[in-house]
Amino acid sequence: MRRISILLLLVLGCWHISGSGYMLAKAYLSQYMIKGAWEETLKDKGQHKPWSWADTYPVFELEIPRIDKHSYVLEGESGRNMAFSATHTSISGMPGENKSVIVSGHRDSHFDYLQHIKLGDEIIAKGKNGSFYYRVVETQIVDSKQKNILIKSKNELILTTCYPFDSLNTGGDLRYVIYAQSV
Amino acid sequence: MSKKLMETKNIRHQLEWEYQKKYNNQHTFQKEKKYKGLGLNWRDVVILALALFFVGMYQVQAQDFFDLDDIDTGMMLLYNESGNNYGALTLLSSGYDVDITGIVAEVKITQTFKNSSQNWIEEGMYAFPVAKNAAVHQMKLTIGKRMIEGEIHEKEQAQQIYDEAKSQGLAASIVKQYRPNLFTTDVANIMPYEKVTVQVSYQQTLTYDAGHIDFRLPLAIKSRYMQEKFLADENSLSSEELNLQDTNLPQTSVFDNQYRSIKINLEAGFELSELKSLYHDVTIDESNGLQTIKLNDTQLYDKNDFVMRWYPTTGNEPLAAMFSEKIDGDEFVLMMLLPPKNTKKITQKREVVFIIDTSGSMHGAAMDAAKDALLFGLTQINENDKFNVIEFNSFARELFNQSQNASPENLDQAVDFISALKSDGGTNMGPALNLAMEDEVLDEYLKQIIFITDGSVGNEAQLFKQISQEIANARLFTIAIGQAPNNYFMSKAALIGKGTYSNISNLSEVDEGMNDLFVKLSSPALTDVMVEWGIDVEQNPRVIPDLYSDQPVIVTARMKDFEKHILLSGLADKTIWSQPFNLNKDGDSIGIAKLWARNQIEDLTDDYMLGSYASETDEQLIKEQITNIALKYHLVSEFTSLVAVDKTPDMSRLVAIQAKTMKPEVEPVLAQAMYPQGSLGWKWQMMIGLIFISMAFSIRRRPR
Repeated sequence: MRRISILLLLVLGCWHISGSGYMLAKAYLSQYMIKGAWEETLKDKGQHKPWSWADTYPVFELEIPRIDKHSYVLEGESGRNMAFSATHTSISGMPGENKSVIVSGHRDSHFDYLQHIKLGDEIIAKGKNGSFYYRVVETQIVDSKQKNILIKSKNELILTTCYPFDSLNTGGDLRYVIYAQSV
Repeated sequence: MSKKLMETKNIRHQLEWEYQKKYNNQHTFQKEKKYKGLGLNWRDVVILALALFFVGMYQVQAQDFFDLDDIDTGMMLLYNESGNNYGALTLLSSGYDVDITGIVAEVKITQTFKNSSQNWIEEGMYAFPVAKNAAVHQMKLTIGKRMIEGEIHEKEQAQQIYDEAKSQGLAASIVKQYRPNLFTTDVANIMPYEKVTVQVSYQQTLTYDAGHIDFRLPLAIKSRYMQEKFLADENSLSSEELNLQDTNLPQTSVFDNQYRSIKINLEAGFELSELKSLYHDVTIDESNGLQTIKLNDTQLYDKNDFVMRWYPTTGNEPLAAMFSEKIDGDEFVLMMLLPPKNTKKITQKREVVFIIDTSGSMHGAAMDAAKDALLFGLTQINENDKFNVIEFNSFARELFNQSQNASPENLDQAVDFISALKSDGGTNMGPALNLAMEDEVLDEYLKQIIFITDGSVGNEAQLFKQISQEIANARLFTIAIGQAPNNYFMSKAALIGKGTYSNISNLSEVDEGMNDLFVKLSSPALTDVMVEWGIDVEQNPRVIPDLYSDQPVIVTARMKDFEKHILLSGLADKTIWSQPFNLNKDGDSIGIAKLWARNQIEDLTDDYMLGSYASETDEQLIKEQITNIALKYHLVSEFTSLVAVDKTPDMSRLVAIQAKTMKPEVEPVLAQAMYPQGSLGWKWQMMIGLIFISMAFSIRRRPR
């Protein structure tokens, strides 16, 4: 009886740990494939899936020079896409357009660096048609149950992730939002 | 109520509400449960503790909701209706210009904020924590081309100015205090990218403690933690409360890019054996007894307040320093008398009279502690000293008719008397004080009355009058035991009785507290201190207290033309001590007139509040005196307020109109998107896995 329960606990433990390992592996290994797809996109300006069965494709790249961080942004804000990289909300604008651009990522993987972004930081969105420069003007913590993200006709970049950054559990209602304006 | 406040969307209301809520909700926190009640053994506890430790590591760093208690440095708080969010303006720079003369510091703060967003800010509130013992006397706000200045006005007039400005839609505010020493004022309509400069001047008195004087500036930025109630039991809160908790938090990046400077001119008045900054790197220059202190690192993220500390070099004799300030034909003098380095036990015989409060309000632990204090006091009396014990509740009763020698027999009698004391009945202090003070002070004896009570009395004015009339050559020391004594009564009674007040709030520290007091009582550095000014003066305090090892004597005075030197005298263990002192610095010290006026107002306000005036015309006279001094020396008092007055009303009206027309409503919302999920949750999964594995190991190792 004791042996069985030990075995059971070990199996459960390993299962959970490998589960979390799998999430991380997915999040970081996929970056290499997305990188490949993005390089091809830059070459021929077309859409390239990172892997054959993917239903998304990289649309632009974010760079924050001061803290030396960057992210590939996938099209579509579905949970599945977010497991692989930061994502672009489909109904929002694209960099360079006169319409708010929304990019979201997980606070415990691709967007963990949002906590280090300060007011005044420069953010570069590198699309296939060139680079667009933004400057951070505001950071907010909002309750996602009470508010939506407003898409305006304005050249701005909105980055969102979960809040608080170091909370263990997932599924909280608070979001950390960074507003950056085109410069 | 709360819903309504949410709708009015006013930053002041919101903060006030949060503040009240916080203090009403404190009792809802649950206490920790002991593990044994759950039937766990220590092994389980260790594993659980480890697991909780990992969870805790991730949880505690979350940020707190914002409230007035969090304001530990100057902030411009704001509310933005169009964005429906609360926040704080970016602080660009803070400058502190400080002039310290002896124990009085004049501080001028200049802070510049910037609205770094493209939005108009409709409502702002400047908040600044001023130090204890500080009085704000000037304020100036510059917002682009607008200027708002704080003026001291008579209260009714201040209210009128305020109402008028409000009715015209102009920025106006009466300086308000939510908790002691938090200074706030309103600002309206800040343009996008506009800078706001705030200048606040305040005077602060410093205290001498254990041989040093500290000056502190509130620079520390405390990390804020999420409240337990938010993490733990959301169920216990009503939906309304939850709603309020979830309002958007202010941005916390206020402190980024901030540049600061600190410059202090220090005239200590004494030679210093040490001068240092406790936590910051500073440069100190000295010339002609004037120290100039500058902060070196101007870009800091501070964990500590800025504290300068200096140690005057004291010798074997009391040491005095004097400064003066000339204003409008009057000269104001500040005299500080420091105790010698080591105070010796005096050889003079003492008569110690203990008065103990045995009224109903002392019942319980306080009564026991008071008895302990008394018994301890008895052990501190020398055999050739005299003593007596008086108890009072509704009536007063004394141990001996007259103070007796502290012989073993008499002490035994006293112990019996004290042990039999019971707390019951009312608090009638008058007769007890009368019994203690009525006997004439015996020649060669120093009479010290030690009064142990919680000070819950109603007829303070009458008692003060009685003490000042009957104290003669005795000294009255008040001791409060336990929490929440009537501090005002206790300290004022001691002041009038030329003694000191000590509060022993922790009942387990009665012995230490009494020991400190007895050391002090047996070794006064100087009694019957007199200052001969050589000219008519208005001096404060009216009666100069004795000089003890732990506190200096501070005297301020107003006169026509100072002779530049005084003769100080007093008794040091029965022998006459007298010494001439010269003015350290003539005429151009800063802040002394204000300090004198503050002391004077405090005295007059006491008179007024206590009703110690003979007729209604006298009452009116005191009121006028207070008002006149407050207006002349620019001070907030019982009858005057600091009101912010818009000096550029036309400009402000223009800006208000602009704010209305240029609101970012021109930015239509095209669409709304939901916030996507924001975390993978791999840490949680990993955590659960680790817990399972550690449980497996713990079962394996458990002995059969």
